[in-house]
Amino acid sequence: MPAGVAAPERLEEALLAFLQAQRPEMQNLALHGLRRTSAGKSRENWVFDACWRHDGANHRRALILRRDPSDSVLRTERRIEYGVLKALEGSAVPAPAVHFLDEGGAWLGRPSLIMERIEGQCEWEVLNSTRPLDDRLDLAGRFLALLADVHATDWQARGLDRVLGMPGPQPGLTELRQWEAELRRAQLEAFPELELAIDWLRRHCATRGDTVLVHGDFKPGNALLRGQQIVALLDWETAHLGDPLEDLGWILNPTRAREHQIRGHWEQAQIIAEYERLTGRSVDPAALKWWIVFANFKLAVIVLTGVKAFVEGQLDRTYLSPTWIIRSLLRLMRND
Amino acid sequence: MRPDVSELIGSLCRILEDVVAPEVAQDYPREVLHGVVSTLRAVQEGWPRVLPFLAWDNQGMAELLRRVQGSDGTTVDTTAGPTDDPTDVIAAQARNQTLRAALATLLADDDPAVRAARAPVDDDILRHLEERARRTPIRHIPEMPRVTPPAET
Repeated sequence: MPAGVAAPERLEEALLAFLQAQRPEMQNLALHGLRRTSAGKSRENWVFDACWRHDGANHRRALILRRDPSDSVLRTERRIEYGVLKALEGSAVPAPAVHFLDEGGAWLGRPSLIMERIEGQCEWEVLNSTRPLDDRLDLAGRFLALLADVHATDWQARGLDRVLGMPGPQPGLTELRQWEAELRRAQLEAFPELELAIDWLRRHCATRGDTVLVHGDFKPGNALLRGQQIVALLDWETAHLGDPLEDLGWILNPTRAREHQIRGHWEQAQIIAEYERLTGRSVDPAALKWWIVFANFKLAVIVLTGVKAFVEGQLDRTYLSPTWIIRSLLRLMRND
Repeated sequence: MRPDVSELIGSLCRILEDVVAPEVAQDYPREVLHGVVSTLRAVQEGWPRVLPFLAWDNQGMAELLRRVQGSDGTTVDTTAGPTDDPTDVIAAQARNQTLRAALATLLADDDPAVRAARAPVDDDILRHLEERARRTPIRHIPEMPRVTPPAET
């Protein structure tokens, strides 16, 4: 199959061939309702149902294809995401079951994985939605408890160190190096603000905490809800082993407050106190601040990656200079 | 000059919203179209401020670089070229990139002598960059998707 399978009918044909090759025992395999969804900013998400006969019975399964776009705001490997999802099967974390991997994109045009499609609602700003305050506070607590579950994952027993690699003696510097390299790849022009940030992050690097499974993009927008239940945590493409404060800093990024906080009820102090209660870890304010600054830096780099892909005609979504993140970043550093 | 730039962009947005958008049924292209219109609106509002913004930023950065240069002998060309036309937005943009590159190089330099020379100006550099982010004329903060229906994981 040539690279860049784009039209739904060609993709359907490629999907059929791929699935049939993976499971030759499936008879009369057919796909229904293949369409690209608007969800997902870094990968193409295509939903469909697969129907087949086997052992004299009819089967139908709701699936989702996550495929690399021609360019993205995130460069991650489907092979690693597949490995993480496989390792999490049967754990306390509600990650979707993953079924197939087309690692090099030989079948589907670009690297892809196929996983179960879970029924649920994705609501990015659910904590500031029209739901009653008690329900939103309940959900806020459930999201944080889920984050604590992610961090409590026994990554050694599940072999996640083999999938993800170890973070090195200073996970903060490891992450900084990775995202600085991403900045160098993505930036179309000089960015003095981010040079200041890199300098600040190097000089204030946090000391190492415990090593845990870090989700890397934990947010309600990467979860599925049924009522008050969180039924799935999605988008494991930036998962890695690292410092638990990385995820905490990510959700306490001031530019993402509408996604993670409820003004006057569920703000930084309450979130830290509840996280400490759930995990038994004490949160060092200086280390947390480092990770909040880092979260701003990382988010700015992600947006600049989007700018490059947009300018080069590889991305359909508009990305402009991340001025709102820069303001937050500089404010945090100025208050040092 | 009618339609002026704002009228032109505003009318294009109206056509996209009133004529094209109702005919777009699929979620993904509908969301893309919404993003296109939002960006055009940002351009419509911000384009008149682009040249004044670049002029202000260039003047501020040149002054900051001159102050550091005075301390450590750094040789950054901070003067406007003799052929620069202050009404030429392309030239102002090129100048902006040159000055921002010089500032970025300065801020990335971890030589103790350069840092010492920079130190008295650091707060002003930070303030200028904050003000620049505040003044940037064409801004677009991506909207968060509202609610994705159950079938759309």
